[in-house]
Amino acid sequence: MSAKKGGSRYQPEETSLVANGKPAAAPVQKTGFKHFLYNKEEGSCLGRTAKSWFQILLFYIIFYTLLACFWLGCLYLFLSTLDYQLPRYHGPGTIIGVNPGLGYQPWVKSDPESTLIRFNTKDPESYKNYVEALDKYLEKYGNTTNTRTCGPGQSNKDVIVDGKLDNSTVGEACRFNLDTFAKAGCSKANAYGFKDGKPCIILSLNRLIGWTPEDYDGDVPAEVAGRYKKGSVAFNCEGTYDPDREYIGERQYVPPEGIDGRFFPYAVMPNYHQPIALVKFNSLPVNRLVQIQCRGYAKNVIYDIENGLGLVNFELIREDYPPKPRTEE
Amino acid sequence: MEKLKNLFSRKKKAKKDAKDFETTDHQVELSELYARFGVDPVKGLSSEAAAQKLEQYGRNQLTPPKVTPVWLLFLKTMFSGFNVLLWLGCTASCVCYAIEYSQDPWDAKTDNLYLGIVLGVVVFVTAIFQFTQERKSSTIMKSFAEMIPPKAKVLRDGKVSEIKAVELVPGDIVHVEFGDTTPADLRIIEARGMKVDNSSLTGENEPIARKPECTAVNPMETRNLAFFGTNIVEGTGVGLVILTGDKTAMGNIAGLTHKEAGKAPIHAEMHNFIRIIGIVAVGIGLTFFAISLLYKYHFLEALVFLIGIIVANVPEGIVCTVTICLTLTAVKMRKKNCLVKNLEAVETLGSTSTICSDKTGTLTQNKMTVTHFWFPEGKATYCAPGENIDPNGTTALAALIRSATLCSRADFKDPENKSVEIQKREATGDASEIAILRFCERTTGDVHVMRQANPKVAEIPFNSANKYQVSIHKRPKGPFLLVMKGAPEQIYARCSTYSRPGLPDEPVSSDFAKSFEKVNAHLGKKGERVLGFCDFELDPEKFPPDFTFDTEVTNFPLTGLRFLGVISMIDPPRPGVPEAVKLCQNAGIRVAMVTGDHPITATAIAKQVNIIRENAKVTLIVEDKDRENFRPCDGDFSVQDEALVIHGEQLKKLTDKELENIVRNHRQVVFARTSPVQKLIIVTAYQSVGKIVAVTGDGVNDAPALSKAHIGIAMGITGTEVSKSAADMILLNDNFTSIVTAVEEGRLIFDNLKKSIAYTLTSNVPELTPFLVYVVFGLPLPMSIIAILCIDLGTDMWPAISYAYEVAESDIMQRPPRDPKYDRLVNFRLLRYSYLQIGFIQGMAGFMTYAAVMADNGFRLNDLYNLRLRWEDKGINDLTDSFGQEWSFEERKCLEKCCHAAFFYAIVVVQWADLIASKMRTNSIVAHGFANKALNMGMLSTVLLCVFLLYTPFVNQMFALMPLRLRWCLIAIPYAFLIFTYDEMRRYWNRLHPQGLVFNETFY
Repeated sequence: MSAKKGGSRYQPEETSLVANGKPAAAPVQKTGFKHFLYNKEEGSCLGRTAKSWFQILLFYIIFYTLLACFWLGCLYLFLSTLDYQLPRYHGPGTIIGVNPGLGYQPWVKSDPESTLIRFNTKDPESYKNYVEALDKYLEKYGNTTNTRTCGPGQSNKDVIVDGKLDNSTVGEACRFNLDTFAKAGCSKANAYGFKDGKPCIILSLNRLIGWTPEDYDGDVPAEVAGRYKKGSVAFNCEGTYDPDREYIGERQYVPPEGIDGRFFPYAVMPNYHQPIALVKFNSLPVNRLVQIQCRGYAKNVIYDIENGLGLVNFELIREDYPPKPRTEE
Repeated sequence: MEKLKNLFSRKKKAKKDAKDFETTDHQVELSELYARFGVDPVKGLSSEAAAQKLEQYGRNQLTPPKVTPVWLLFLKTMFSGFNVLLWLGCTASCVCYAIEYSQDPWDAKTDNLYLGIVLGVVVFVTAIFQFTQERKSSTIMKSFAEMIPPKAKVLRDGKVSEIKAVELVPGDIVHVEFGDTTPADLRIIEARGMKVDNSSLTGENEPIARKPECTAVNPMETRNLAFFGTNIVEGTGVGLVILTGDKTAMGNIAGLTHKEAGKAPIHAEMHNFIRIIGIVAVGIGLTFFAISLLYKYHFLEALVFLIGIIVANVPEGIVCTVTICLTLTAVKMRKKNCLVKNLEAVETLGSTSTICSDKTGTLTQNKMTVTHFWFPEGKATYCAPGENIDPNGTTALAALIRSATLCSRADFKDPENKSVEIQKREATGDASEIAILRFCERTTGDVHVMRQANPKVAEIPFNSANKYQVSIHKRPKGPFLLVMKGAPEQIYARCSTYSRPGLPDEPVSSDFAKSFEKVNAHLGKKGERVLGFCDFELDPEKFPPDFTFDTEVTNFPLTGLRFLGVISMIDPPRPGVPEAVKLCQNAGIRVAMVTGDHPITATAIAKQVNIIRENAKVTLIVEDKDRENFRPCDGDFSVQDEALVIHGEQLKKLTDKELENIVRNHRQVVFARTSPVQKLIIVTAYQSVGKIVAVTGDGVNDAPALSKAHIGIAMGITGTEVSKSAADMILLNDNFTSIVTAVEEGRLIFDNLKKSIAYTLTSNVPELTPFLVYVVFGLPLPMSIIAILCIDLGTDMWPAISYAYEVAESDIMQRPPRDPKYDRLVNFRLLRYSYLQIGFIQGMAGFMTYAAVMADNGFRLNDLYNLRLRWEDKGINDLTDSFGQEWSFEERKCLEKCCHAAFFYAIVVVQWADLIASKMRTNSIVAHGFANKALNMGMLSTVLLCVFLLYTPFVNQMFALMPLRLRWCLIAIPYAFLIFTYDEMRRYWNRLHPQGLVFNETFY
């Protein structure tokens, strides 16, 4: 081509950067989609020949392999800076902070978004899920390896230094005993009170590394006055709104003083027994939704309704009618 | 009226076979015309008849084109391109909220509503911005309308009265005089020294005499028609209105002139880009919509994913970025004398492959200038403007100059003012007379000295019948002197002797005849206008000093004169144009001349300005036989170098195939004697073979071609208002050379837009992948939609815009124009490079930072898998992390915000590296440097904005972001270095192996 053009004073086509490095005179072929899928003449599929496909795949395989190595290398470097016993950011000034939230059980996995506990005293099927959830939750307390019985004056503090288990000590957590709950009528035997329409709800404080309850300096809040004991965290449940308060009826706290302080602080350890308390609703109205808010009480459990700190919400419906004949399923 | 409208719209539809203005009214007898219009030549039309005709023919004005209402245009902007996708996202968000609200007013997530509103606002604001920037002025018709005179003197009911010109009807008899604008197409009934300037129609501004006789079949050439909108420069006349309004010659042109929106190549490129991104966005979106439904996600959740994916995929800021980049370039071009009216036209010159240039006024100075003179036994001497010629050098020359000085009606408007350069001084008279006047002034110093010394006593002015001008002067001493000038053949025929330098006069011989003819032919071939001069000393016996000369019966001799020589002149090329044309040709742009002038003159100028190369073989297609003999090259590239000169009449007769062949294969083409419609046909022909065509022009006659071209370029100084409004760009200094700078800027901005888009698109991957892992692996959402918008419309904006100031990487004027079919603004290679390579690395940086934030707070990566459901469950207030700590819902949300902030920050850091990497497509950063101050500032602005968004109280709350710890800020930095290093290596490899595998895969 260039020979024929010889003598022309302007031959722009010869310059190197011609049309993005492609021959500008490349004939524009009319190609249909079918042609694009498979082109017999060029032996190309999706616009590439077998060789081209091989090259390009090889290119990307090498490229991504190298990138993956780089990423994994970075990850390895990063992980090597981590302490598996203690998250880097915990305690004051971090996102998780020093203000524990509250949790409740039973929580049913099959209905995750719901905080409604709805049961029919006449229909064991209706509360089977709750009982199972509670069973499962309490199961861990049966395992007492690596735990010890803590008497008065003993606590998890004895084995924890700077948020980590002190390996120079026995390194065992205080054992949590469920006997009190059983005595109060909250055990598997009576389906945790659901059978009698007096459901037992487990309340817990969120585990925070390094957190221990602090005692009130002066006046104890009226809600827990009388029940509150120094060194522990008391609970109080109340109807969320006025009508709920009217209907909520009698609540029994097991134990009355709440969670004992000896189970704090939490640290990563082989078998930590998380302390829990129960609230038993002894006189729930029938066929009526009651919205409940439970709060924890200690000086350093801050109640913040905006951010949902120091409290937990759930709803109860106690139904009482003969179960509908269940069809297969 | 209705009928006329129909006619007008039909004309629009039938644009392809646009017709030249045609009429036969100039050929028929006047009496027949009077009868046809029912008009009494003495009394004119009656008022009733005029009123009735006004009803029938409509008002004498040009119908303005249908204007799309502004609100409709705005709506179009609102719902075009990416905005459709964003509206989709906006609607989906609102629908989500509405459904949730209807199910449970208390529990509905306001996030969706918030997002919907934000998306709506984003679309609205960007649309307003785009709209105001791109809104073009559609003022073509307005300027046509301005050409119509407000009043006309018309003979009606036997009286001459002044009426509004719009009320004229065919059959009206109007009186016109110099200074008027012709109010309609007129058939001349009477003319007294009437001359019109048809430049607004033909582009050639030379006063042409009008008279009642029909002199040509072609209505544009006959002398007995005066056209609507043209100026009467001399004399007075009476005319019969034959056509009004849209049916006039001017109306015909106006009808051919209408803007087509979106003809700019960049428009097609943006369209293509938006389509590609749209396909990718909707494709990925729908795929994951389906996947999430398969995963048994709730329909509403799947819809939210869809929104996320679409928002992540659409570069919201890109349309604004492109608009601003184009505006910035337009400002740059404005400083270089190119005023761009239509923003999209900024790039068009960069991809232009053919320039159809008008000759007069664009390539040439539109100023006749003497270039050669010759006297017997002398050689034809070239005289460059400004060069001083000694008039006393030879007596022959002195006589020639004397004759030229005296036999002239031209004079300077302000003879006393000598401070202005001669070439620039204004003068009255015919263009060639002015040229000679200037020549004489330069040679003699002051023509008035000689003129006053030799007062004129008699004169026969030039007329087309005898083709000479003669005047008789009384000399201070000696007999009367008769001087004559005219067509050289005419003058020669009247001479019996010729003057010789320093020698006595010699009788005319055959040898002399030969040399005269040779010179005459030689100059004629150069396209110059040649005038011959002779003089004669009248016998003092026969013509005593008190003799009265009679010019009517000519009581003095007009033959047997003494031949002095010839002076030739031409409208010379503007300085710099030949070089500019060559630059264009080096840049692979063909320059074709399209002119209304003579083929010979056109060819001569074409040669001078390099449109036709010196040694090229020139084929003229002027006569029918030329055309019949002509064989366009068909695949034979050797004839590419052959130059063609095509006459308008022959152009009409060429078949489509032949014309296609010519415009496709011939590099040197001159179209002469073309009409407005033919210009249009030429432009269309070039466009049909895939050329991007620029047209330059200054007259009204150029308007249709200007508006049809991909980019119409009008002249700022000499251009008519109509041509300016039909054009997309205006050369403020009328200089063709400015086009070269505009081409350069256009090419540069195309490259830079590519870089800008590559930069912007890259961040789509780190924006998109969080959603994908969220859906597929169930990780808590690593990046929020709001943060995506912060990047697309915040931190990415300035840097993307600053690419407009990036300097070229190589000599962009040494490569051919881009092939619009192959070199797209955005192609899949660019997408693959941006998405699969750089974007992938960016994604890794984001996820690494995310993983670090999570792990540092207690959630290790392996524990995040499928955590999404529990993470987002408001009912779970005690979610356990990898260290056994329990997180309340609010704390988790807070941590999530922190992740969003970290991911956002990571993208900002890697985009920094991408910004530097995308500066170059070939060169290394070492060679390219950091000269772009705007870009350097952009890097700083990104950091500041990022810090502002993350660390300012309330602001970070509004954008759901959080302050970051220094530790997390460092994590993305290695990836930034990786991107930079990888891209440097890639470019190095590409420079080493052009056309290699990596090159083909990654060079966008």
